[in-house]
Amino acid sequence: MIKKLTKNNFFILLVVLAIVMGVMSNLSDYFLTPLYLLNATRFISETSLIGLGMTLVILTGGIDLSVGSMMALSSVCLGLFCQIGIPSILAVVFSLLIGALGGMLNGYVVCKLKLPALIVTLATMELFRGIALGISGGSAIAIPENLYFLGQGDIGPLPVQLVVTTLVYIIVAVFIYKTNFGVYLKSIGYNEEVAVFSGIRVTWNKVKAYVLSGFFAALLGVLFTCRVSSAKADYGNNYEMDAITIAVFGGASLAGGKVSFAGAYIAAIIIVMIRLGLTTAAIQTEVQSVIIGLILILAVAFNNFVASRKTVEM
Amino acid sequence: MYKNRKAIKALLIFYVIILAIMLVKAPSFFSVDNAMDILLNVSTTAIAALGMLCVLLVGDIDVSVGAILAACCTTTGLLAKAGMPLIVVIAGSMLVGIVLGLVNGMIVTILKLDAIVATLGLLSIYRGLLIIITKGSWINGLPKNILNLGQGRAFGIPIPVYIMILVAVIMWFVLNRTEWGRNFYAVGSNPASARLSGINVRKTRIIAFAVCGVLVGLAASIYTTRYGGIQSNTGKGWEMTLISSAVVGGASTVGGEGDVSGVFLGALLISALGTVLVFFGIDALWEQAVQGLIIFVSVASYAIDFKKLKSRFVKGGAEND
Repeated sequence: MIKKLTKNNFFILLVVLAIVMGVMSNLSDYFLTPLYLLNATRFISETSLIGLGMTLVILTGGIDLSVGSMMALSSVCLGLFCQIGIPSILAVVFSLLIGALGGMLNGYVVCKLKLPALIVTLATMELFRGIALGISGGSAIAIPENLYFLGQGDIGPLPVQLVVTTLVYIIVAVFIYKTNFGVYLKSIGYNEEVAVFSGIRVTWNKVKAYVLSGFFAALLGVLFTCRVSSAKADYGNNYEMDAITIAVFGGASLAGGKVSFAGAYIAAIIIVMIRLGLTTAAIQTEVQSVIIGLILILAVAFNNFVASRKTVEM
Repeated sequence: MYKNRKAIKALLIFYVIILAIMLVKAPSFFSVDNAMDILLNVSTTAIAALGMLCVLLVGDIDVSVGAILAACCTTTGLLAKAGMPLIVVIAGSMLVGIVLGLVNGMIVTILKLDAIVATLGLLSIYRGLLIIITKGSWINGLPKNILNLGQGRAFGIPIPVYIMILVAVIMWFVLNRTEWGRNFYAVGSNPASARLSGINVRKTRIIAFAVCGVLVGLAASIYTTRYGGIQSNTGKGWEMTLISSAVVGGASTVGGEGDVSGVFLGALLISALGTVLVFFGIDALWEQAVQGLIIFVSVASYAIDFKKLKSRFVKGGAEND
């Protein structure tokens, strides 16, 4: 039984989460209070959203480094659209569309020019951030007050972000596990050539994954902008690193074909909890970054160890 | 065979276009002072990008170079302030670089991690530790004789440029004329067949990381002495500059492809772009967008060239690159 459970990455993540929660609640008295945790779900939802897009792209064997920049670009676009008088709802929709378009650009260049995703998205990372900087002039743009709800409001007792992200996760999970889309992405990730010969529309499906990644990054940009009440081009710096950490920590293999969405969600919770907990306990951010780096390496090493044991037993 | 000729051709075309536009729009661009300035700017990037090339050649990637730069800069600064002679300062910086490179290489190869994930984790560990150790303080007021390394000139040419040329020549020799260099290419092209032909793959990959670390260490001592002081966030995002220099210069991120001349041209393009844009009169705010666009276009253009070549090959032309 125990052997079976330790083989399961998800179970290990839950144990890690429990340990983290235990340690953090010892470090600070405020940590394990309902109000604090409910507020923490705002951060968790945002972080897990960006991990979700990355997980989808990693499933196809690619990687998307442009997510942080795309978040900034959609944030700036939202601010500018509102500034020129486009109604708030439309402004949000347009910003999300820009995210999807950016993702499409990534996807088509990766598929059609057969370039490594790492290189393409490295270039678009610079490009998107540069455009965001250029069109915003580098300054912060205020957004209208009727948008604050998206970042600061509650639906019933729950923060808006939590509801939005949970819905998004459920929809993606349904599409991945209950439709062919998931099977297609998985087989592309395992072996693209075989997928081509099996009659899977590789380009079409891969582009969809990149579009979703761009879309989720843009959604995060909108939610984040509404939470902090202004749009700026330097949002989301290094978020691509967070996203990769979450996906891999959650059990994804960068070679493609193997990811875990539930794992990614738990991984996002763990990382946010560590950051928040250590901040509440007034521990320097530098110590936090050392701890998070260590956890990433140990987690992946452990995953590999478990995986290698599995293959030996088979 | 290992050279990405298309990349170098495309880069040369880029240079011709840029220089032609400059000739018409801003003839003042062509001054000795400006050329020296650009060469000085490229020297640190080019030296470290050659290190990144080694890591890319064996099929790995090192995203922790920014943190290694910061660690080596701090070492340089502390040793210089302690009144050490120049040679000890440089050696100390390179030693820190080589140690961190070895740590990277060993963690990647022994724990069998993806290089990007492992170095990502190490990036935050190094940076965190560095700030804990230095308490985030800036280092200023280095002794004058040390500053000569980064700011001095010999025969009108900045000293870092000589160092860059020396490193490029050594790296060319290592990559093309020594066993280490050939092993880099072999391991990156096909690790399995490299192992079967008796190459110690793990050792080769660790060496590549160590070479990267040592060159970053050297670049760090030039960087520190050139600016005369360092901040605790030195080198943030620098990994992207190095990776894009190498990739624009035709290095492949899956290994086995890339060479010294390409990476040098790539680094020159990436670091000269800022100056070029100033002469174009483009707002500094748009600099990053143009930089991204150029990386994008140049990388995409190699791929398009490659396709053409393939179709020619299929038709039966005996083209061989």
